Amino acid sequence: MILFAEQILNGLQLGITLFLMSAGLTLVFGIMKVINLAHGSFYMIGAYVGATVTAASGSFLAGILAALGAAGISGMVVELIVLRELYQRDHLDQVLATFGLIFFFNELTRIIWGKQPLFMDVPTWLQGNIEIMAGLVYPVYRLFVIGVGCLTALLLWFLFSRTRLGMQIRAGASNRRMVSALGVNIKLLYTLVFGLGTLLAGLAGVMAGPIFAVESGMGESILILTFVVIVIGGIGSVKGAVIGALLVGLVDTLGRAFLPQLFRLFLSSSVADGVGASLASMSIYILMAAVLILRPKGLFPSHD
Amino acid sequence: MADYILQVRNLCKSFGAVQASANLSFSVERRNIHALIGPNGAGKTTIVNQLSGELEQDSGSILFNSVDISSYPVYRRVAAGLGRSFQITSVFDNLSVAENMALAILAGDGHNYRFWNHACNAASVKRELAAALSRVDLIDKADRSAGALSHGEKRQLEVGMALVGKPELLMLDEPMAGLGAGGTVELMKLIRQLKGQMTILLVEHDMDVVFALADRISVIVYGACIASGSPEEIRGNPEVQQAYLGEN
Amino acid sequence: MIESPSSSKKKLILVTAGALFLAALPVAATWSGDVYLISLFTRVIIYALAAVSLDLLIGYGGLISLGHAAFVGIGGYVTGILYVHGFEGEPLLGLFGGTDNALVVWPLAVLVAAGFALVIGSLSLRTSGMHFIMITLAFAQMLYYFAVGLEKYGGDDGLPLYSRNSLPGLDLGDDLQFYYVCLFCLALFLILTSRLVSSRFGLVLRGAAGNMRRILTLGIPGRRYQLVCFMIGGAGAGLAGALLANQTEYVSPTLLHWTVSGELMVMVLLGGLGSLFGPVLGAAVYLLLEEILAMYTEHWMAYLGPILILVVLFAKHGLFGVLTGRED
Ligand SMILES: Nc1ncnc2c1ncn2[C@@H]1O[C@H](COP(=O)(O)OP(=O)(O)OP(=O)(O)O)[C@@H](O)[C@H]1O
Ligand SMILES: [Mg+2]
Repeated sequence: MILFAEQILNGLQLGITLFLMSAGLTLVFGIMKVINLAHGSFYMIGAYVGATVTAASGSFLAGILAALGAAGISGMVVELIVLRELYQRDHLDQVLATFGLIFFFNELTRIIWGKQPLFMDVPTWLQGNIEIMAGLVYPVYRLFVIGVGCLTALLLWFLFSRTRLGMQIRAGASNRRMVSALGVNIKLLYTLVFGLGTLLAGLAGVMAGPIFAVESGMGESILILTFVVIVIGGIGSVKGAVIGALLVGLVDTLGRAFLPQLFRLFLSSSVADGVGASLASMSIYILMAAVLILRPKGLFPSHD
Repeated sequence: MADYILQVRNLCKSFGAVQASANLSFSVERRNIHALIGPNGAGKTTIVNQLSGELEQDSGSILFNSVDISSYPVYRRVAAGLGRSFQITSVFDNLSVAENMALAILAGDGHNYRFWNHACNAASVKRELAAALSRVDLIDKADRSAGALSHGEKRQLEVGMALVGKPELLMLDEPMAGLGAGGTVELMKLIRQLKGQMTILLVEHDMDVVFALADRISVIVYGACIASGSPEEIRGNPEVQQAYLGEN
Repeated sequence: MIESPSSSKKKLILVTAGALFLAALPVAATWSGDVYLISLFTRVIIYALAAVSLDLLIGYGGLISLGHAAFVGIGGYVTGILYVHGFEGEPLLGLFGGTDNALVVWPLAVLVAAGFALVIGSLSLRTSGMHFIMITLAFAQMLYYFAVGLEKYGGDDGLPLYSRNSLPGLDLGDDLQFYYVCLFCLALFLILTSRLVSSRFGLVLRGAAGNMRRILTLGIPGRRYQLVCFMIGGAGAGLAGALLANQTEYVSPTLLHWTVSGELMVMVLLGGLGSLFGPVLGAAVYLLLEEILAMYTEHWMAYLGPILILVVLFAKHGLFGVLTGRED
């Protein structure tokens, strides 16, 4: 039971990270109709800049701010230089150009920071564990990540449902022609949305810094999980991103924790561990296939 | 008892709050040219789309040769004998004119899982291609990319493609749209030639064309059929004049 | 594809020149002593085969698959697994023994890859556009993790083969002979696919890529044709995977990694989308560029990335298009 609660928290934490990644990306897909493989690069940029600034200044908060700034600004620059040219192109060109961006950013971090991964310490004020309930001891930092994620989700909700910019963005996600007909400066809106998306990716990156190693190419594995989230949730839907992210986070984490044990009930332990582990790593893709069969456009398709 | 090729019964279709088909019923007699007229947005294209199977009706039924086809997918309806052209021209821009026509010919000629011989060497294509292209006056543009044709030529190609399947019922959605006077005359000539060989459901705004060609006319307003009859009856129908012709 | 007479003549010249070059290369390399060129170009030929099969999907079927490496990997693993079972004499699934006979292994690699393509394709083809790209990517990644989890066959570390497959009458262990076998496979696949794209099947396929709605209203179930195309593409990639496993005498999950899918796509676009022969050129240029940049700088990817973006933005029909003067 305790173990289960702990794994639920772990799943939540992965889900939150995935939400930060997919919220921005799903908007970019939905509004600009552009497929961006380089989204993971901004996660990586956030992690590297965050780790470096935290180490230099001694302040994790400064690191977070620097990561947000770096990811947001580099995102907007990339939008201005490359992405903008791609909006009118077909998806194939978008895939290839953003694939080129991945090469570039991965190598750039190797040039700047070298080949060795960086390790980021958990700041002193977030170190240690606390006992959430009898017997369940959980790292403070991971709770902090969950908290920051929830706070961000709330802020995003506020932005989307209560502000003018948010209304324009939502309108853009469901009906692009409508927005330009309403006289919104589309180019500026696009740059801002893209920057917002990469900023969130940067946040996800810096938060992941103390948990995973910060290394070149770290963005790609999370990117593919993000794609799965978006396919499940439905392109262009922030609500879908929330549900999809939590679903993927929980299924992946719980699968890894419990599937091998489950198989031990009726297989020899070494075989069970093997089968369980491979099935666990495939579980979210199986989930995705199931969603596809039932609802090819995802759980919350945005109309188009 | 008239011989109806198509019977539409109580068709309903809404897009959100818009009722595009509102308990719509009408019947089309075999070998007639049956025109659907009605103001913009009345729901004519929506009817054609439901007949062709591209849109699913909310309720109601469609009988084609007395068989209920309303749950058939598009390709089965085509196989059953329904052909159509589009209001917004829809040809294969990435293929040549001849290839466009060849595709239309091959579509009705058994399966196409043939991987080796050149498509244009298929017997049916060899036999029909030249005639099909000349029927719509495109024989000397055969090797041109369809994407590079003028609007009128694309229309011709489109109608030509709808014809090769020898459909029993051909649905033409505003075939004259965007054609100059010359093109309209040509196309009217073609449609007249087809009369007697097949049934034609014609959606058209040009009243001169409609009254010149149609055997029967159904008037669609707000998704419902408010009157059906011969051109004379429709011309004399006060309700129609008020609802539709009166507006012009 | 609509080609002007002058561009199809240029194409003929270019293809002939390319064929002669590839046929003569090993002779020249042996003569000048640069034998490493033989294995480098064997790699080029194998990747070209995979890229051509991807071009069939993207350039003709309109199916932008970002998971093509999965089928390369499947071909590789079929080869590797059969080899190991043959070597250790332990029957596979307790049913049949493994083998290293190329006449059995390669067709099996092709069939298994096509079978996987059938499953993945029929799921993925329920969607289109951006969804299709992401879903093919995700399925390929799923197989990647599956391969990583195959502890019995080396898991993460991969599976070494102790020799190449055997082919009666030939010695595949000899680099020269292996080169020509690969070249033969590529030529065969190119002939088959170039017949295919202008056949009835190909016409329907190209029509479906251009205007699926119209294909359906012509009464043709276009998705099924796309599925068959997906399977043929997968089969070609499976053969490439079997050849690759033979060349390197090694199979590992990296064969299925999504960056390989991306690289194959780059080769297709670099060479010229929808031209079949273009991707051969694309594979050669990409792999040589990689080789050459790597000689000068450790950070070659930092240059390759921007080059790629420039190609995408400015060279629409790829190198093959530039060379044959294709325009439309
Ligand atoms: N896909 C759709 N989604 C929402 N509303 C639609 C859709 N298609 C049609 N409509 C609405 O349904 C109504 C009927 O449209 P339809 O295109 O059938 O009219 P029409 O009679 O063909 O008009 P026109 O003469 O202009 O071609 C219109 O109000 C239109 O806005
Ligand atoms: Mg209409």
